[in-house]
Amino acid sequence: MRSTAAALALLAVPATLPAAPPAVPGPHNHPEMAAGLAGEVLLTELNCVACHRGGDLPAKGAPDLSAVATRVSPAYLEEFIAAPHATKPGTTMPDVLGGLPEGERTAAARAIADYLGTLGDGLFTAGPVDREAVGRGEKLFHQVGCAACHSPEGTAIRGSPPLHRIEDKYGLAGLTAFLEDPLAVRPGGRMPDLHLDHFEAADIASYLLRDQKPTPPRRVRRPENVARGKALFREFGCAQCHAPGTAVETFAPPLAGLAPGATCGSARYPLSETQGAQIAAALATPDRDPSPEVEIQLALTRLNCIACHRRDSYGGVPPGRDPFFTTSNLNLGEQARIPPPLTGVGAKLDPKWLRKVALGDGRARPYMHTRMPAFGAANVGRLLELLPEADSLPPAAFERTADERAAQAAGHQLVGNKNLSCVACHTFKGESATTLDAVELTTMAARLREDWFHHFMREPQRFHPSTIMPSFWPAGKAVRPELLDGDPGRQIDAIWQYLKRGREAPTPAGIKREPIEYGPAGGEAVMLRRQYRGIGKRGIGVGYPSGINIAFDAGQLRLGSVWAGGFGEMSGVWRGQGSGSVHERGRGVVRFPAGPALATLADRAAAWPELAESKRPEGFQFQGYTLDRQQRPTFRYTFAGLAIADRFVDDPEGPSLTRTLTFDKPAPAGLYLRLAAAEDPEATAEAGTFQLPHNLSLKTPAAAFLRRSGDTGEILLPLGGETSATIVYAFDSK
Amino acid sequence: MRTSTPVRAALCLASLSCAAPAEPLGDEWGTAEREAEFYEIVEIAVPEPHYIEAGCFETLPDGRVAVGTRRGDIFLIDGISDEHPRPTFHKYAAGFDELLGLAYNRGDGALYATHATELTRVSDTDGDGRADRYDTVNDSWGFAHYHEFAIGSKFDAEGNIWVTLGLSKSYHSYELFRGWALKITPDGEAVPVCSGLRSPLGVGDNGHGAMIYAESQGPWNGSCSLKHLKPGGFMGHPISYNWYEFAPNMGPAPVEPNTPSRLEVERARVKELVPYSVVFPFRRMGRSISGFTVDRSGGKFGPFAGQIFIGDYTLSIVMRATMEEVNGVWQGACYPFREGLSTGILNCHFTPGGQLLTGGTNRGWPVRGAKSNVLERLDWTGVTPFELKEINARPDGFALTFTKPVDPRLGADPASYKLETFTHIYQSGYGSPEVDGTTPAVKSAEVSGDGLQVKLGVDGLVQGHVHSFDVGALRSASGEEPLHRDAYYTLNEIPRGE
Repeated sequence: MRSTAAALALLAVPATLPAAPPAVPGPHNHPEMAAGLAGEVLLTELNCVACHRGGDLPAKGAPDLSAVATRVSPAYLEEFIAAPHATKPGTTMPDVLGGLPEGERTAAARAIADYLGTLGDGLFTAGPVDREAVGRGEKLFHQVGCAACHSPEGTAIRGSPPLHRIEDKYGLAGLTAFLEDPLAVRPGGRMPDLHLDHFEAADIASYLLRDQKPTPPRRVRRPENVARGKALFREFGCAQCHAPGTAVETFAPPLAGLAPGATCGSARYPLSETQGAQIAAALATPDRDPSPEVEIQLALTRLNCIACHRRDSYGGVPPGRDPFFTTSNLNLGEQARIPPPLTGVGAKLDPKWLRKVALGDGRARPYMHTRMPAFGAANVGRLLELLPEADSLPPAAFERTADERAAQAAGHQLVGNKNLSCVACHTFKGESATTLDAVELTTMAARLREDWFHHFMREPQRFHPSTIMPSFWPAGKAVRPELLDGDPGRQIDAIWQYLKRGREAPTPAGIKREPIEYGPAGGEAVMLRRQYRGIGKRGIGVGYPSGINIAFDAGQLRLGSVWAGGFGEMSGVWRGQGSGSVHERGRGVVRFPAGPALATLADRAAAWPELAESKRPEGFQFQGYTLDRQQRPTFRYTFAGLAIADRFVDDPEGPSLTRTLTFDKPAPAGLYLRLAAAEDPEATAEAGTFQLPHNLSLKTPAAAFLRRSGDTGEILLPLGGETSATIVYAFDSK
Repeated sequence: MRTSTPVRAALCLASLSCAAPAEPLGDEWGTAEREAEFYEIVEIAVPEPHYIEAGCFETLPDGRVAVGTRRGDIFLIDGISDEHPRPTFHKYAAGFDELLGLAYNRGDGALYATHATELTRVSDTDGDGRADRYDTVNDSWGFAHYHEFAIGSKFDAEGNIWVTLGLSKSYHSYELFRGWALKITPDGEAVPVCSGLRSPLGVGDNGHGAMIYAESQGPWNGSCSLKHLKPGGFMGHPISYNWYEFAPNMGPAPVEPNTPSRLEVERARVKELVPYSVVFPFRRMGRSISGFTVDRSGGKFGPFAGQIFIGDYTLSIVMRATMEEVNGVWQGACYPFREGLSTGILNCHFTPGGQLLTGGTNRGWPVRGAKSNVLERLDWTGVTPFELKEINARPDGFALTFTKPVDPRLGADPASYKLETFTHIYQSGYGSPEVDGTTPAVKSAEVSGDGLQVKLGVDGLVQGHVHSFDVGALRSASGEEPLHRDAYYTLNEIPRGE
């Protein structure tokens, strides 16, 4: 047996080539795989079954060459076709011209390359690359998962798909486009789609092409060669694996008839001794009837899922690549950086979610740097059927609480920090009680199968020996016996029913919502029209860089409040439906009374017109505002035939501001401005100075006066005949 | 005080229904994987420190796209149409309250922003690239509760902006003109045009010059629908009759509709009641339809030029709609288009490059797309899907137009078309089940010479019913399955025979 295999391997290697066997990572990295199975993988990965048909083994396929001229350097293409294994040691492209004498081989390769040079409508262009992009690309390459299969920088890990002389092969644009959507060119999914956006793809391409010398765009084309090249492409069976063209069913003898020691005359590979033996072992067992588990193993090996994932004792991250599996959240331990095991995954994940994950649309671990790539629906379809078939768990035994609401309420309690405190590690709608930020709670029920959830919750270590997830029912005993009679099954069911509400589940106790602070920046004021306390809905808040803030009421046309300190916390208006008000971030907020601030009075003693908060006074019309360079407003409104400009400008020494009202003509007689009303405003000895609560002083024209009625004092400013008025609001910062 | 048993039972029921768990959002169409072949979702990254929950969009003459946000900012986006978008975001204006309408005025070069409190003209008078003048164009409507949103259209042909005003606390009309549509004239005057709105989200031209708005399921609305804002019309929810005395141009308040009833019955009694133009069956076609736009990209977005594209907040999807005027009444159909967007869609807009820009929010109401602060673009891949493009009513049935020729044999087989009808209860209670179902008979299917249109002869058309079509059995001439099999035509009027 051994001698046969060796003979096959030797026969397949042309003497002139270096002995770098084709890199098929799965079997190479996992020598524990049975030889026959490894051989089956090689038969598909080396595309033997693209010509030797009749079995049910799916050939890997090869790059779509329909637009290869835009992507790959013509010179490289010619060299590669002439001697693939010398040009790119480890390639899975067979040497199909190797049987030709040297001169003929070179001519044939050139003709085929010239034909391929007509495919695609863009011109191949190379270099230069941006050095900063190289740095970013190097980081990404070693972070997102490239190094799970390819050799990391500075090392050559055997069995890695080669990137040898990649700078001679690709141009930046072509490689970027390929990395952005590798499945378009290589539909077999062995180079999966890592969801690189255009700019990430360009960065990685720049890194890979960092040594590239710029060459002008060119297309080597010898028209006389094209027809011959096309004929050779067909003759040598290139279309068996590559598009364009049509594969021929009977290009080679069927797989079933191949003798274990046979040699292949058309597609030559420098197979290793082991690879030869593996293929021979596979050919020796033609009647295959693999169990679902074996089929799964084959599929995981072909797609090299096992580069990242373990399933039972098979596969997983090898030590040489381990450093390139990283996380942003070291606190979660190994589970935060090593992709999850696939042991029993068919019984764990909801089939819809599993499909999303395999197609690259499902991501549950945002802290894991390695990305779960997309392999293409056609390549994973069978695997997705097999996993639930092969994996099963006994039905979980538990008593379901029939009253859904009661169960959800209990689940809500259990998840919170007064009970099991799931929120101590897991996020809820992205927010958490700590900084652990483990897998999101609101998507659990959509991702997981209910049975698995019950088994897992009872014994997390059974599924992940190294998990930091504790068991909350040690020895079947509830740590919270007072809820649902302490019955573990009912408690887990309650959590499940609660989690099933997804994002509609009420927030569990312990989740801290980060405040949304908002305020002036860069020396400019900020403004926000929302509800402020005491104003109603038509408020306009302004936060000034000098640490003073106002809320103007555009409904009643008055200054509503003023405070020193921060501007506002916005949870009330920028969270949920936005039903609340802006929370002023100041210690003392001085609020001015509801109702109009301007009124025409018969005399100084006449009562001020009353109007409830947020009712609109007669005779006023708000007209908008204008901002100065520091974004400070001048409000504009009309009343009593006056066009009023009401300007609020902070003083750099703050917290204080100067308010200037300007009228387009002298104000009518009897017009008053009510500046404040409070229980105990004080007029100071100095005329035109008043003291308000929270150490706010008002500096007004001398005509302003304080009048009292009952417990309330009002500060009024007569405006009749005036065309402007200035008031200073200053907080005593002592 | 003792409460008598019946009262206590009633209280109990009421509190149960209030606190009952939210309904599951419903199944996905399951077509996202295939849709991606034709319409790709391209994420537009929003750079720090900006935060964008888009409520409205507008394109400026220089090709930049303005986006107005729930947090109240207007950003100008440069480079939104780039093949690989990494646009710059410039904060042009700030401080608004839930921006849900942006319209550029070519006359004065200003942006007109509709937000909860008013319609504001926003301009940059010193040319430094930032707005410095905010003029109140009109703020005549009442606003005293956060749920009283205001949604603004683009300018109509006469230079008006149409503003639709949601009810108070979503059930009442405590403040002036809550539940009404106002037309704000170029002089800033507010003209009341329609009463009876409930919870509008999206208002604009239907592509044929008629103003429509998107209404949500709820009281007096069995399901979401696009409604024609026919001047003088009543949109179905009578709680806002109290403001007719403030709108003398509208005449007296209409008679009260009966409940429970049918829209088809009540429209004969309540002459101002405008039948709901395009009904979106609940869950299957969204749960809170939102902002919409008309494809005027001239084919850059594929085969649906001139059609309405409309988002749905809850299900994070975009749908299509078509409308036609039959016997003086607007009606039409809705069709699935694209699911799998990342946030609750509040609005959509065509970029200068003919891509469909979408955005929205994920907070406050149940939503499938859980991301916040995200803009996404739908790009046509250049591959045309085989789709039921448009349904039109005919005196004896319907004309179905497809994006590609149909298989001649299957196309001519009446059995390829499954047709059912239903309507909703028109009632003061919340929503409605689908009722009064019928199954009309498709008697004939006549394929046009180019294979693009099929005329169905139907026995049993039901005026006032939604006619639901299933073309899943059909194939294109080249054997393609339809990308989506369902479509829903609201047959308010049957065309009179020629």
